[in-house]
Amino acid sequence: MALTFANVSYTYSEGLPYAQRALKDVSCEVERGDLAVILGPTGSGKSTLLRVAAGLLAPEVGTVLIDGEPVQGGATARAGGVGLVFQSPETQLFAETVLDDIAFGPRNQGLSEESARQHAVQALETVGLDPSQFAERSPFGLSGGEARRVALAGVLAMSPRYLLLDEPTAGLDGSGRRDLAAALAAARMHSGVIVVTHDAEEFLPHADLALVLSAGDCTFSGPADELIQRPAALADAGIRPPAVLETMIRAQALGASFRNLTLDPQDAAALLVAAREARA
Amino acid sequence: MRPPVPFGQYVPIESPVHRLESRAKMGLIVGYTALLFGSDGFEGLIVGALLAALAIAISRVPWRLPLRGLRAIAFLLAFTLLAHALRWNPATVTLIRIGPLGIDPDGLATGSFFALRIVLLVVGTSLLTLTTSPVQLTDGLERIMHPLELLRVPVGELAMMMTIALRFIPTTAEEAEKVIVAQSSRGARFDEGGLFTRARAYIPVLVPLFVNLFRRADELATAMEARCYRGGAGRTRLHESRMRAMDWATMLAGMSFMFAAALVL
Repeated sequence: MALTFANVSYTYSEGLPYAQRALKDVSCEVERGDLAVILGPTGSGKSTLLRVAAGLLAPEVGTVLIDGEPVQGGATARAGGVGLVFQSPETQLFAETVLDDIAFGPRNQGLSEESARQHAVQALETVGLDPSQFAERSPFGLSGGEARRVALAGVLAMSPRYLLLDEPTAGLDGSGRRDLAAALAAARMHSGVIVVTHDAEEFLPHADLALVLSAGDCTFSGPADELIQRPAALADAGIRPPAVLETMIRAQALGASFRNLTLDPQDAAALLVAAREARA
Repeated sequence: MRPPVPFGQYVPIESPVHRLESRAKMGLIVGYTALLFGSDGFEGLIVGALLAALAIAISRVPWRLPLRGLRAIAFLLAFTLLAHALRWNPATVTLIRIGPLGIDPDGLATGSFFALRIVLLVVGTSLLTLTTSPVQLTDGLERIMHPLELLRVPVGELAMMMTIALRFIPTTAEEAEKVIVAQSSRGARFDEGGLFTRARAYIPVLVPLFVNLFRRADELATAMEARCYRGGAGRTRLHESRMRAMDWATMLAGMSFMFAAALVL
């Protein structure tokens, strides 16, 4: 039971003078319950990979399988295969009330009105918004963080087996980021989660798998712990490592010696103190 | 990485057609239009088709891009053709007859003539936008309309409006595509059911699209005011585009040939 990319390549406007190769021979496998983070700078092909995963773009070469079945765009979404949350998804809210907007997806899946509303209420609770306060509000009067969570609820209400998110924390303040991270942790109980981001700080510490893209090439694919031990893979792709990791790398450059690198601040502090004592 | 949106839009490549000044290209389009509408027979249209094909080949724009615009007018072309070709209870000999309806050969020829004229007009004019950036296009229009300032026509403001409108066509297309894809991934279907069902299916696209466009327009107006925009008076250009000898020569030679062909053919 996994979302599988097998040797996926994709080129925009192939055959035209301004053709752009977006993905080249990308392979990886994300299981249900996993959090996979796809890292890369702007233009590295991250968003394209999500679109291919959702079946919105057909790969030029290679295949994408969802639990062994080929992905098929809207049909896969309606069958609860994948749920895609785009960048700034709050700009796609349209209904008169929050509940009505969230129930849009379940209705398209063919659920009855009552069942669709139940799914919508549950999704609101999952993203940490109180249905009694938010259900009847207009989606156009919400704060940025609230609107982002409502948009996420709109996808979660469709009970996707794999949740795909494109830069989910872009433009959110600190509390908005924390609320969204909590909502994703809850979503991970039922779905595999793939997050695309250029910010390693936010999701790498919680990730099981990591993929690093650079100009469409996959320069790293494997367990997130392995990527943490190889920070050069982040630097080569132009991604700034998380602050804790960067501190340890700088300490190494100053002569400190660590057996392992870590993203946990507590462990990193202990390792730094031990390294200083060893040098003394 | 975003997919390019090429419909009728500037294709940024290097070619002699791209290098031609926008006013020269507009002059050539005037001559081309005169040729298409001035000639009474297929000969004029054949000359127009050859000129359009030559211009496309020189421009190095892929052939399918100028032809893509025809999809939007397929209904108009079919209507033009059928309106001339179909006859109700025709007395004369017809090509095909189904009940009281018949296809008249003369009508078919006339319909084909008018449909071909529309096709060539669309292909030729789309080559103008495919080889001229929106800024060059509006700069050219502003310069052509410049004399109207004597009649107190706000030419600068009109040019700015055209620049912004042209600039926002790809943005709006991108935004619409983004919302359609987003709602599709929430299970929305846009290609099923009758006309009314399909129209209703677009409500989840149109509402956020217009909300976002109004928000964007408001932000743009504020940003322009914050950068001291006070209308067109006294504004200068960073890049002054001038008609070179080659631009004048190409425009005058092309226009003369096409006007002459329009009179002869």
